[in-house]
Amino acid sequence: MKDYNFFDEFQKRNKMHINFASPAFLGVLVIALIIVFSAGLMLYNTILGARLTSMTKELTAIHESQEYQKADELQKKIGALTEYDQYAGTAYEKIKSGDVLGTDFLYAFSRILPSSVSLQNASINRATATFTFTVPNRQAAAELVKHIDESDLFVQTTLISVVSQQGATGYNAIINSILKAGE
Amino acid sequence: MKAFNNISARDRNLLILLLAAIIFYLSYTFVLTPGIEKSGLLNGDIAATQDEIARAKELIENRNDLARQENKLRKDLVDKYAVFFTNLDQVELLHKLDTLMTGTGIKANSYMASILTVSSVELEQGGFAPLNYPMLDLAKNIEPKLYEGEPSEQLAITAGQEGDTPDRIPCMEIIINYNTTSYDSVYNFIYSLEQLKKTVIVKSIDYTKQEGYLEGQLILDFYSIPQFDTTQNDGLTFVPVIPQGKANPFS
Repeated sequence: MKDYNFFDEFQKRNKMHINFASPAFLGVLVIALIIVFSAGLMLYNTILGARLTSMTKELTAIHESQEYQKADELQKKIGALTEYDQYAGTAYEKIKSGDVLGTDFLYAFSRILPSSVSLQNASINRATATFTFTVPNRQAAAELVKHIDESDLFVQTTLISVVSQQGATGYNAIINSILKAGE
Repeated sequence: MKAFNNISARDRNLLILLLAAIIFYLSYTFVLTPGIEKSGLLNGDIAATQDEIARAKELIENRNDLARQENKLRKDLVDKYAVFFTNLDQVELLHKLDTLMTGTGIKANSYMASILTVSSVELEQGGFAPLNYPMLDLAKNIEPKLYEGEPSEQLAITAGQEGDTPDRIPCMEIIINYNTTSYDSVYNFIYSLEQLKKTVIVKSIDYTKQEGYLEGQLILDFYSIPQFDTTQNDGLTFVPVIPQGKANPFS
């Protein structure tokens, strides 16, 4: 009767000798490492994904909370008010700088006129003004223009004409001026 | 497998190395690179979400401070811009100006109100264009004291600006024509407008002496900003006092 050794294969494997320097072993090792690294990377990404999902849920819950919505609304209102302040401030500064035709101007203008002249017409549109005066003589017209020119009310004064009045004594003096404005 | 066993050991080794290289390439291209990119993106998303959560929590913690800040800012702006009208209503303005004209003796024979228009406030500048010529520059260099205080650059005589600027606000222009009015009345009317301490400016004054009185025109610009608080009040509201209702509208 033949004697069978059922552990023959196992005993053979136990005696298997691995050559660590063989290309086959290195190739298998590289493949194994790649597989392990890939699996690890996938696991890592799965964990990151789960963490991100959890954090997103937390953030959504925070965003949906009444406290956050109220705080967010307040913050937006503060931003809007700040911007509003900026624009309104700019507009107000422009309005202030353009506000030159007032009682201060009228009062100061009256104060610089020689006593012998009389204003017949004034047309002041923003910074541009045209005045027509009745003056007794050209001397008075010259003094009038000099006073207007030297006042702080205008940046430029131009005498247009001094014409004698028809049927009456005296002259009409027309003066163009540019008001100081927007400074 | 049998064919694999039949080839020489050297070829077998080369085949294994080739297989390893192919597997490495495929893994690197289709598994490792996308995986590393994905983990980079995920890490970035996680960091951004963490920041967002931290910001949201901080916002919630500071909500009482924000409420106080918003309240203070709102009150400050209400006070700061109390000078502005918040609602340019033609009826209320007519009522107010009529009160002022009657009170100051302006005999208005026409009153025209424009529709409300939105524009950037026209910045009026008065300047003059000095005459520049070479010898003037030389003289300035020789004796600068003679030319001190004179503007050196040529300015536009009048310059307005328009455009899609964010500071555009509504404006209503009102033209008042008057006659048989004294200078004092015109002066007092303008003074009473100034005493409103509101954003109304006299855009144009025109007056001509006629038989001891003045006749002419006033153009007024009223500016407003949109209301942002319920406490803002222009002080222009009035209650009608004339009884309503009649049988014949022509009577």
